[in-house]
Amino acid sequence: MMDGFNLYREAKNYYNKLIPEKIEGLIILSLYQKYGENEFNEAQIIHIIETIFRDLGQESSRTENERNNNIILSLQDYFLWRDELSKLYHFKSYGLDFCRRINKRLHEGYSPATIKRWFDELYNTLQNLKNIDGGFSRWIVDYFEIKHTLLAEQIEILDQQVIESVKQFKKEIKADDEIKNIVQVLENIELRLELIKQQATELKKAFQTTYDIDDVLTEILQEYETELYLAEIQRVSRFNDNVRSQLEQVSKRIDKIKPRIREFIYDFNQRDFDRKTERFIYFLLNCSKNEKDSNLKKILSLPTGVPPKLIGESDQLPRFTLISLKEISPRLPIVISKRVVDDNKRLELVEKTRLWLLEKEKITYWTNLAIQGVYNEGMLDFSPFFFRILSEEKGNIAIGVKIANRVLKNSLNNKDFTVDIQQEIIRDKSFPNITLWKMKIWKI
Amino acid sequence: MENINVYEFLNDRKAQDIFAKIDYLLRSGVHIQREYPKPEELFRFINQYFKSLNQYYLDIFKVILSEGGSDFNRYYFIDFEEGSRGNISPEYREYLKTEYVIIGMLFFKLFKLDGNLEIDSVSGFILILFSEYEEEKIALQKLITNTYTDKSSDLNDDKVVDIIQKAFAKFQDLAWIAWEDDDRDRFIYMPSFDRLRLMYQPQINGIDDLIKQVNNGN
Repeated sequence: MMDGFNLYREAKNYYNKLIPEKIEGLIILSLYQKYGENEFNEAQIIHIIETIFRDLGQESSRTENERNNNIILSLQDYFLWRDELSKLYHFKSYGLDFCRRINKRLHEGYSPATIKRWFDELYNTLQNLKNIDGGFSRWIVDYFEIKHTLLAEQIEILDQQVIESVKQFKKEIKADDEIKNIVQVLENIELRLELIKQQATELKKAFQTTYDIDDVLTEILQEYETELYLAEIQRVSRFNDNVRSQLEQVSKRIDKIKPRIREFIYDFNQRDFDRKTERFIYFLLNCSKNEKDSNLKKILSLPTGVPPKLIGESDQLPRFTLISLKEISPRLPIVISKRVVDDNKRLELVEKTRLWLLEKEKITYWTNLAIQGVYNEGMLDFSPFFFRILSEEKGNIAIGVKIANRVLKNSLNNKDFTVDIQQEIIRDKSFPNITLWKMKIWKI
Repeated sequence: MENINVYEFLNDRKAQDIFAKIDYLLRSGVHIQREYPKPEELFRFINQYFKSLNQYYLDIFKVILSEGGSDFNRYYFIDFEEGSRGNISPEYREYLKTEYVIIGMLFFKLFKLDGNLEIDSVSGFILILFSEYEEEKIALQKLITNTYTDKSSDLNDDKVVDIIQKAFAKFQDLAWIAWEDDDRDRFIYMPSFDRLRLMYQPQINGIDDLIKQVNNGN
């Protein structure tokens, strides 16, 4: 770049001292915030070092003193100046520059009025100097060089703010349920983006003067046609183009992000309402009560605080009630049927009921035996068990199937059990016509 | 003479044919949307003259003709709640039965919130409720049969099924659903079903407080 000086090579050697690591950097900034250009002593530095380590959640160690000492020594390379006599410290100019720049970037934000003034100044000085011999070069060095980075910085600040808003948006979404007022938070982000967009619009107005400057530049090109200025003129006009398009981009990005935030707020509201609806349904299910109305008729009422809703005027409208002739004509006499008790049929029914009860008992007995078996032995080989039932129940296949069904159903519903069915046919020689799959019930 | 245009809907020639029908439906509590009840002209007529019809109901009956949903899901109905300060005497007021509110909300949960979109019949709803929502089914059964047991029986199941069928018949009357055929089982879900939830929007939004109140009351 310049006379043999290699910035890369030089910086490589001093990098760590020129650009402090995070903790050291924060210590420097904290000192600057507290003391600025004034003096401070070593105890005050140590106090700040310790506060910052605590704040960053770093535990204190036994080597604390040594650590503090190392930091204080290293800061003296570029950032701090120590007066040997008074033993007081103050910032070196590099340190002050470092802190001021960061402070400006983070704190001062942007100011369209200032920018407008700067541009007007650029424009006016250019107007004045363009006709003077060498005036354009002077303008470049004395005005453009000084102001143009500051101007570009303003746009970068806005852009940075958009990025921060998006980052925060993503963070808030991840937090989801934990943050109760998430909708509020999102709305704030939306509001902030709106503000940034307004700022971008204001900035764009401030940057209008760049067009005027472009005009003057064209004029210079046409009038002077000097090769010498060409590169510089191109540089200025490229800069103008860049700032304008960057501003445009900021606005466009916000326009793209905003509807998504809207949508999300809408979805979230909806989801929130859905979740509440679910809770409301369980509230209705669990807290509605059966009561008696004034006529002692049983009615189901909604829980306290949930009113019944009017859905119509039952008899406001004219209604025709249709009555069939049968209902208003005199009734024909009805033959009274005689009741006859059939003793045989009754006995038959009693016997049927007895058998049914017996069967029920047997099913319960065998089922319990099977389930108990699994609990006691840890496993039941169901296939031989099934044939045992058959032989003891004298080949009553109907009862066997019912028991098998009950055992299988209970085992499948039992969380402690697992049922293992293999497609392997099991037979028993006493019942040659019956086959079943090999089935085992395990206790987990 | 400026007021002559207030009820401009009456000047439309179509009014002769369909206004009586619209009026009867609305005042019976029916919700009118594009798809149902047919013909679509009913919906289009209200859509076209909403303001003037709204004024008419407010002036004459002191009830509010309201709209719900948006764009393609729009539906119209008379909000008897809002107008209840008006001209309806208490004995004529018809409230949506507690059982139907609960069944409607349960259906809404299964169908919309849980995404059981395949439900297209009352029997389909009952099947899913009984087989996959045991806890909810038992809670509903306890309310309907006024018992405290978690056990089921055919008789209790029948009672629950019966009330569910009656509830859906009521939803059909309100045009929240539309029967697809004569067997009163298969139905189409209508946009206005959402009205059930919106009627209770304030209570749903304040559900935490409601639960707290009930808990403190005990």
